[in-house]
Amino acid sequence: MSNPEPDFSGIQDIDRLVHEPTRLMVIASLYVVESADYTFLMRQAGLTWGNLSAHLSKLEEAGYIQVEKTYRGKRPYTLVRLSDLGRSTFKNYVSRMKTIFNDLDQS
Amino acid sequence: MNQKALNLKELEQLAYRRTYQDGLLDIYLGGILASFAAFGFTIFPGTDMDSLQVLLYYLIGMGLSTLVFWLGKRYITLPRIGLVKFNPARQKRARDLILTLAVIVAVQVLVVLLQMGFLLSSDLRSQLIPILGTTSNPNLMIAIFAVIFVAPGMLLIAYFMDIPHFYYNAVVMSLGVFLMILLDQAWWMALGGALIILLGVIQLVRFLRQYPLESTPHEQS
Repeated sequence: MSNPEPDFSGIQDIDRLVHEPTRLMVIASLYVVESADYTFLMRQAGLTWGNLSAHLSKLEEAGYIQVEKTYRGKRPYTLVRLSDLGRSTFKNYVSRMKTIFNDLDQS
Repeated sequence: MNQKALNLKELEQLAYRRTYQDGLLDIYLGGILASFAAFGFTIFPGTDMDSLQVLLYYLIGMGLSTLVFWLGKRYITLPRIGLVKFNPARQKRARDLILTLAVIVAVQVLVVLLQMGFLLSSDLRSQLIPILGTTSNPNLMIAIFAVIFVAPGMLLIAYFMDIPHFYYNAVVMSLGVFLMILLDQAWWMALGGALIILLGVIQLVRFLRQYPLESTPHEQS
């Protein structure tokens, strides 16, 4: 009788796009507001413009965020918001992480 | 290891409070309080200003406070911390605040009018003094009544706005009104406004140091 193989499927199914720490900070920052511009996200997540821009591009490609260009007076602003898909993905990610480590023996 | 769980509520609160770290709202509120002291000058002694000077003082104070707030938000705060639209729960809280403010202002205006009537009408004053008690200083009772109306209102504002240092503003504002009535000196209210402005200026300086202008290759092509 052979030993059963350990089941890592729960870990392997984690969304790696969300799991990356910087993107996780950006998504969490967007999750708690309706929308924000680049400057606000830079401050909130403590990122440089280049770093933020690269991560936002990946999130936009995946359809997790929506980018809206708008004007405030004569000044252009780019507002970023989590899409419905992004919101549900983040919720699923949090729930999955809780489940994975729920029974972890920390002794 | 000092690891902390990601608290989304705290994250949202941090984002919200950051928008009030610039001290501009304190400068605005302090300016309004100091401007309102102008009406005190028409009732209490302590200045030789005539009605026109009092009106000018009030209008300039209100105008300047509003201008500083508006320009500051636009040219200091926005470029430094950016633009954010908060979630529906926070927006509802802001709507509740506006509603609460409207009720508070209505009640406070009524109280001030009653007090002015009381101070200006010697008949009414002589009729009410027995009701208020046989105190040798009827101003004390009026001052206490004024604080009972001003302080809870300001504390409610601090609560709804969810900004801890607004409790300080509430205390200073109430104390200013209390001393103005008690000591018959409108300058106390102006001083209360000045103290709130001072807090705002200190916060503004801290804010400018904490959030220097970042050069970004946008805003945003």
